[in-house]
Amino acid sequence: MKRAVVTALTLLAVALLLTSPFVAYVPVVSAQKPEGTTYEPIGPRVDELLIKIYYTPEAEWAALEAGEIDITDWPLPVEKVDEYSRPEWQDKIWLYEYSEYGYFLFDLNHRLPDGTPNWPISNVHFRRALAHLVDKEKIVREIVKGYGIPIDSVILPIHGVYYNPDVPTYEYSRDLARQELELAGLTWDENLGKWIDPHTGEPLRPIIIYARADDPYRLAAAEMLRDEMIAIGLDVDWRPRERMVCYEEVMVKYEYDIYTGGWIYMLWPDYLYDLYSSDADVRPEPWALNYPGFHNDTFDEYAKKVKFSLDLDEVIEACHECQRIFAEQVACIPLWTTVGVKAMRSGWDGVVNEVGIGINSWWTFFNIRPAGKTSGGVIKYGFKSDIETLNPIKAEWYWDWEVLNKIYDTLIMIDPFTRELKPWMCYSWEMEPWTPPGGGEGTKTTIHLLENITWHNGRPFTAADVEWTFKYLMEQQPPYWQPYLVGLVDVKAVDDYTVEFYHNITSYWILTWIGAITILPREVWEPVGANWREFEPTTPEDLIGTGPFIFVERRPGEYVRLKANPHYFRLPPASISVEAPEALTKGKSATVRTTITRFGAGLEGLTVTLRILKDSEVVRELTMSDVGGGVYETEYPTDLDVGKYTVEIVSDVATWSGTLTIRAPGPGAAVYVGGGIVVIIIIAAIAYYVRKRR
Amino acid sequence: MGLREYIIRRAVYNVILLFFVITLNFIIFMAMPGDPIIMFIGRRMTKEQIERVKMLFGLEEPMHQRYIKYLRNMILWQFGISFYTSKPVAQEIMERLPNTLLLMGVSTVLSIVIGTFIGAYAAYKRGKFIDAFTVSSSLITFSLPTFWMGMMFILIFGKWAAVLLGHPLFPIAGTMSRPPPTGTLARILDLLWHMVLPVTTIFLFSYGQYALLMRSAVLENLTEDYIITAKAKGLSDKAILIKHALRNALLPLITQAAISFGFMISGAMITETVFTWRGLGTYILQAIQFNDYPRLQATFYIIALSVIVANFIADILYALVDPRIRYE
Repeated sequence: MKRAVVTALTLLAVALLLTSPFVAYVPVVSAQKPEGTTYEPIGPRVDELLIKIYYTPEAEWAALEAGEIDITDWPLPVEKVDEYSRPEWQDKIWLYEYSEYGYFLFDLNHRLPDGTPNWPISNVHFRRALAHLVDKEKIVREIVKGYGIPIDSVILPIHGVYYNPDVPTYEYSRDLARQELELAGLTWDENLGKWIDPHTGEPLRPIIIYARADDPYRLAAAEMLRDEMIAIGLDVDWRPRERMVCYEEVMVKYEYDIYTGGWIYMLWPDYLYDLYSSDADVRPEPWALNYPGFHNDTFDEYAKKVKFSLDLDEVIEACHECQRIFAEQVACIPLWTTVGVKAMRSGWDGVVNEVGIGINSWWTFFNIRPAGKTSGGVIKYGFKSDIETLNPIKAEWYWDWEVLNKIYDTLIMIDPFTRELKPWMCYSWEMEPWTPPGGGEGTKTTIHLLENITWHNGRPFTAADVEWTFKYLMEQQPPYWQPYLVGLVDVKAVDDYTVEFYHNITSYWILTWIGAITILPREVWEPVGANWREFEPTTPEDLIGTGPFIFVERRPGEYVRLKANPHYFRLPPASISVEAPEALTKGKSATVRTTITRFGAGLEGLTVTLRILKDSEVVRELTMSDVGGGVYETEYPTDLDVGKYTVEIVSDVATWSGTLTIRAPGPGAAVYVGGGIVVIIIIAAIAYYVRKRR
Repeated sequence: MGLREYIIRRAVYNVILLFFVITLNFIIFMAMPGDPIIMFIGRRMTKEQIERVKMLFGLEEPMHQRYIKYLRNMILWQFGISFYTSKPVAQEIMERLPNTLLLMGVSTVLSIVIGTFIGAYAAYKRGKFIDAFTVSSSLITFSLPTFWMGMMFILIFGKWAAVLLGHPLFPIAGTMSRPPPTGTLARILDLLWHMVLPVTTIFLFSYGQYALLMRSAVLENLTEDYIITAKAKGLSDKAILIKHALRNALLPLITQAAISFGFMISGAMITETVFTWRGLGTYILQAIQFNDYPRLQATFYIIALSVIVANFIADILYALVDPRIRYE
C-alpha cells in the first residue's frame, strides 16, 4: 500500500514536472494566426473604432472571451496563453507573439555620491565576476517562464542593423567568477571563509543589492544573483524595496551597488548616449539618467557619434562599438528582453503584428476590416486602463496616445517591420549641413508636404500648420515634447507645401524627432495659448486633426468612439456610377440612382446631393436618399422647363457630372385618337367611294 | 445634561477629532517613502524642468508653509491639482461621486433592509433549519473575498453565458452600454441592468453583518423580562417579535448603519475595480498606485469627514431613541 502511494506520488510529481511551464522554454507559443506580417499604406478600412475601457486586465480578457471586444492592448499572462491555446478557443481567439522594445538588467553603480570610484564595483574584474554569476538562461526559463530572450547587449535583436550580435559574453560559472575576483585583487581567506579586500586587508564589505519588491520577476532575478554571490563567499546587503524607495536610493542618492533596472519603449539606439554616456551623469544632482555612473572615454566618443552623426553607416558602426565596449567593460549586466503574446477575436483581415508593439499596432487599426471584406465594420478595442487626457500637449499616458495617435498625424511614419522611416504627410525630405548664426555645426532639413491633406473640419493642411505647431511647442516647452525639440532653433514655411527645419546640432535622429510630433490645428490651439495645461479637449471641435479617425465622443471611464475619416489622404478615391436618363419630356419624371463605392464596397451614410444647373446657375438641389449598399436615389423634378441642363451629383467623397435635356411634349392622346378616327373615316369613305364606282 | 448640551458636546468633540484627522492626514503623506515628483521624471526631463514641476505643485516650499496652506485648502474645500492627471481633484471627485453613491447607496440600503429582516426571522426561528442556514450562509458570503465573488459573477454571467447564449447575461463592466441607448428611460434601465452584478457582490458581502447583528440582538431581547411580560399578557409570537423585540434590537443597528453610510463615500475599491465602475473606489486605488498625494489627501479627508458626520448623526439618533444616552 505504502509503495503504491509512493509510486503514485512520484508519477504525479513527474507528470506535474513534465507539464509545468518551468520546463517550457522559448518560443512560448506559436502564433495561431500566422498572418500579420504585412501592411498597406492605405486606409482606414473600418467604419468605426470603439474603445472600451476596463480597469483590470482580467475584466478585459473576460470581455474578449464574451465577444465584447475584438482586440486587446496588453500582453497575456502565461495561464491565459495556455487557456487560449486550447482547442475550444482556437477558432475564436487568435494569439500573436512579439518581442518588446524593452529590457531588464542589473545596474551596477560605478561611483559613489561624491564621485569617487565605488570599490569594488568600480573594478572591471569584479563586474565580470558578477556577470559570470548570472545564469540568464535559467532566469528566462524559471523566472519569466519562457516569456523572454536572454540578452548580452542593451541594444536588442529587434533593433535590426543597430544590434551587435558579437559582443563579449560571460558564461555562467562560479569558477570563472572566482578567477575574476582574484584578478580584481581579492584574496580568499579559508579560515574566515571570506574574500579579503586588498585595500583594507579586512573582509570585503557587503555588496548592496536593491531589488524591486513590487516586481516579482526582478525580485526573483536579484534573489538568484544574491544566492550565487553568497555561494562564492561574497557578503550581500539585501534590500528588497518598493519602487519609490528604490528610486530614492538609486536615482536620487546613488547609494547602491546593484539595482534591478529596466527600460521600456527604447525605439532608437540613441539611448546609448542618453543613458550611458558621461554627459548623462549629472551627479551630485539627482536623476542622472546615467545613474550607474558609467564613464568610458572611448564609449563616450562612439555614443556621441550614435547621437549626433548625420551619416547612417557611421551611426551603425558606432552603435556596434558602443555595445562591444559596454559588454567588455560590463557597464551593467543585461538580462532579458520580454516576449509578449497578445490576443484578439478571430474574423478579421489586415492585422499587423508590429515589431516591438504587437497586434495593437497603429497599422492594425489602419488596415483592419472584417474577414473576407475589403472595408467596413466596427473594431472594438479593449483598454485595461482609463484615458487621463486627450490633450496632446500634456498627454503622457500610453492609453491617451492610443487614442490621440489615431486623431492626429505625424509627418513621418515608421515601417512596422523594418523600422525604416517612411514619408507620411510628405513625399520626400532632404538633410544638409547648416551653420547656425553663432557658428558650429547644424542641420537644415527640408520637408516637402503632400497637397491633398485636409483637417477634419475641411480646411486644407499646409506648411503654415507645421510651422505654427513647431513654433508653438518651442514657445511653450511642454515636458513631453522636450526630447523632440532638442537643438531646434527655427522652422520656416517656405511655401504652402515646403517646410524647413533648422537645428543647431547634427544628428541622424533629427528626422525621427521631427517625425514624432503631431501637427496641431492652429484654430484650436491659438486661443488656448499658454493655458495648455488647463485645457481639456472634450468635443469633436476641440479634437480636430488630420488623422485617419475622427473623434466622435468620449465617456470617461467607459468608452471612446472614433469614426473613419472619409477624406483621409491615404484612402483610395471612391468610385461613383450613375443610372439616369439623359433626356426627358417636359412634365415627366425619372429615377436617378447613384452607387458610391470604395474598396469595392458600397459607402453608406453619406450626404449625397443632386444639383441641376442651367447656365452655371443652380436651379434645383435635391438630397438623395440612402437606400443601402452605397446606393442613393432621387427623382428628377417634373417642373423643369424645356432646355439643356448640367446635372451634378455631389458627395463628401466623390462627384459626378452629366447632362439632362428636357424636351417639349408631343401632341396629346386625344389628338392621336381623333386623328386615328379621322384617318379611319377617310379610309372608310375612300373604300365606300371606290366600291360605289365599281 | 440635556439633549442640546449633549449635541453641542459631541459637535465640539467631533471638530477636534476632525482637526486631528486632518493633521494626521498631512503627516502620513509627508512620512511616506518616495517622492511624488518621480511621477514626472523620465528620460526626457532636464533639471530645470524638474524644478519647474516642483514649483508648479508647491513641493519646494518648507514643511510648515505647506501645512498651513494644506489646512486652509482643506477647510475651503480646495484640494489642488492631481499629480497624475493635472486636473482639479475636487472636480474629479464630483465626477465620480454620483456613481459611488448610487452603487454603495443601493447595496447598503438593500443589505440593511434585507439583512435586518433575515436576522430577525432567523432569531424568530432559532434552532430551526432556516436559522442555521441563515447564519452559515451569512458567514460564508461575508468571508468570501469580494474580488473572487465578482470574478465568479463575471465568469458565470459574462463568459459562460456568452458561450451558451451568444451574449453575456449581465454586463461585466461599466455603468452603461457602450455606446448607451438613447432615451431617458432606456438609459435608466441600462444603468440598473449594469448595477446588478456589482450591487449583488457588495450585498452578498455585507448583508451578513446586519443579519448576524440583528439575530443576536433579537435573541438577546427575547430573553428580557419585558418579553416574558408580553408573553404573559397573551401577545402572539409575531407581535412580540415585531412590536417589542425588533424595536429594541434596532439600537445597535443604528451605529452599524451609520458607520456603513459614513464609509459609503470611499466606495467599494475592489468591487468597483472588478466591474470597471467609475467611482471613488477606483479613484483612490489609482491614487495609491501613483503616489498622487492631492487625490489621496482629499479622499481620505472626505472619508474621515463623512464617517465623523455619520457618527455624529448616529449619536443624535441614539440619544433620540434611547433616552439613557443623553444623561451619561
